[in-house]
Amino acid sequence: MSEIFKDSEHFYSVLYPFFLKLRDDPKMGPAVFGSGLIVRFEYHDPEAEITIDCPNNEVIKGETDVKPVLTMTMKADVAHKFWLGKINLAMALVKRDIVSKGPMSAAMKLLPRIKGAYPMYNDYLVEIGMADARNA
Amino acid sequence: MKLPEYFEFHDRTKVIYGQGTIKQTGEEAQKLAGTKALVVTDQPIKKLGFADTAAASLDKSGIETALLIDDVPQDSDADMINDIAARAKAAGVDICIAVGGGSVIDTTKMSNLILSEGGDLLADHQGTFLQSRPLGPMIAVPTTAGTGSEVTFAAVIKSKAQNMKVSFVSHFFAPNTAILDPEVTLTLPPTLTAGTGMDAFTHAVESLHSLQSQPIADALAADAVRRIYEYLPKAVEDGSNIDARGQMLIASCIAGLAFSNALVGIVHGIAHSVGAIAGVPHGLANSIILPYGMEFNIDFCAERYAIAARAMGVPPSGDAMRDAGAAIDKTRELIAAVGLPTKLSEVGVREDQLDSIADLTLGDGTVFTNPRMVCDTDEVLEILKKAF
Repeated sequence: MSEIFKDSEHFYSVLYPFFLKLRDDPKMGPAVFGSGLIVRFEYHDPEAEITIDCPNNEVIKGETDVKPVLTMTMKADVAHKFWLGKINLAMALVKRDIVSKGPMSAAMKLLPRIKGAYPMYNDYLVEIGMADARNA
Repeated sequence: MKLPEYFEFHDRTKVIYGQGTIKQTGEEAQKLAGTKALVVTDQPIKKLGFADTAAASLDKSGIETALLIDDVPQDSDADMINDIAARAKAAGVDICIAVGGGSVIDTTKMSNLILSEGGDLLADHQGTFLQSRPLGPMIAVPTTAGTGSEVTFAAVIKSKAQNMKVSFVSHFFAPNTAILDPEVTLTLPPTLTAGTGMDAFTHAVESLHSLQSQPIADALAADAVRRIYEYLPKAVEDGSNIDARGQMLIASCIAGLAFSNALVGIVHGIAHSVGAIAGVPHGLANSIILPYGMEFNIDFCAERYAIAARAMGVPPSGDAMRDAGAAIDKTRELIAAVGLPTKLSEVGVREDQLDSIADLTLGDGTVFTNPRMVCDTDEVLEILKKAF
């Protein structure tokens, strides 16, 4: 049971606009979407799926036929903590809190670029009235 | 020293040590309920007769060698592994035996993965800790003292299509049994003894400085550093020194356990790239890069290098930076004592390859656990230029 998200709809209402914000940010957009990768984030508890299609500059909510290079699977609450910068990624991989399928080199290209988004997510939670969720 | 907030230590492998223990391969395979074996080796080891010794032992225990692969190259390609697994499946193999160095053992691990789970190695199994259940049984008899692959969770395979080395990691990849027989390392030539030994040394040092370092791995790594510093020069000087050979096999295995749990850092990342682009053997590349990598990191992990310094007999000075510097000096002394080159230019790396080596390194998973964060190619080039 998620401590943060009531259901899939709630999850999408928080994370999908955040991914769009990330894409449209003048600094983070080029950094993340410039990776040229197609990455699928598969979430469970609650179930959700977001794909970032960097070559086409798109964020896709829900199931899609777009084939990812990299798939990262995790609980929705882990995703929340990840974007807050509270996850030790190496340990999360060992514990299988995050399962990364696809070339490690692709993950390595993406992850340093994503780090800059942590403060953005913190600020974003305040903007949407979820400041308390930063203490998760 | 501050404890990590959380850590896990895994060890899945039964380790057997002793002279002549390769002849126990059959007995150990029997304990794992094997009936038809895949035996994997390379040409030099085949010629030395060690694969035959293992096969004879299997036969004595009533286990058929259903498939013998005796031509594993220095860097196995994914296509070769898919092919071995298909042939093993057709032959009804139910246990895999590796007799050889790191490449042979890694090839066997990945063949065992495809044999157990099916699919295509690159298309279906790339990732980290994807595997969620045990594979079929496997025994490893290492014939070099360096990779520690007989106990590690990782396998490194070359992808010809991507022109890079690809790492596969899962706790389930570790062999069930490792047989450490120092007699099978007696014929290893001095240069190979030195290169593989420095590979083990690098595993130990990098597991100390890794961001995932942890107390159990630290204890193992420090012991490996101590053994290698003392016994590698002896094994290089006199290959028939069975005591030094045994110490090195044990050190390599211990360092393998350490870095499998604590992971490594940028030295390995660069060595993987140098291997993929310039064909430099992994141990040799690690040996060349290690002191430069330590200098690059020293401000971020001096206390960690001080552990290595103590293991090499340096009395604590009370100043971690000073002790860390001494660890780097001792590392250089060790490299000199075993007669290995100290520059990339001496081993066939061209200056015009440095940019692509740096670029490839940034995509290597090991960089993520380096104590100093590495974000762009200029930082990798800083090390490469000094090591050139």
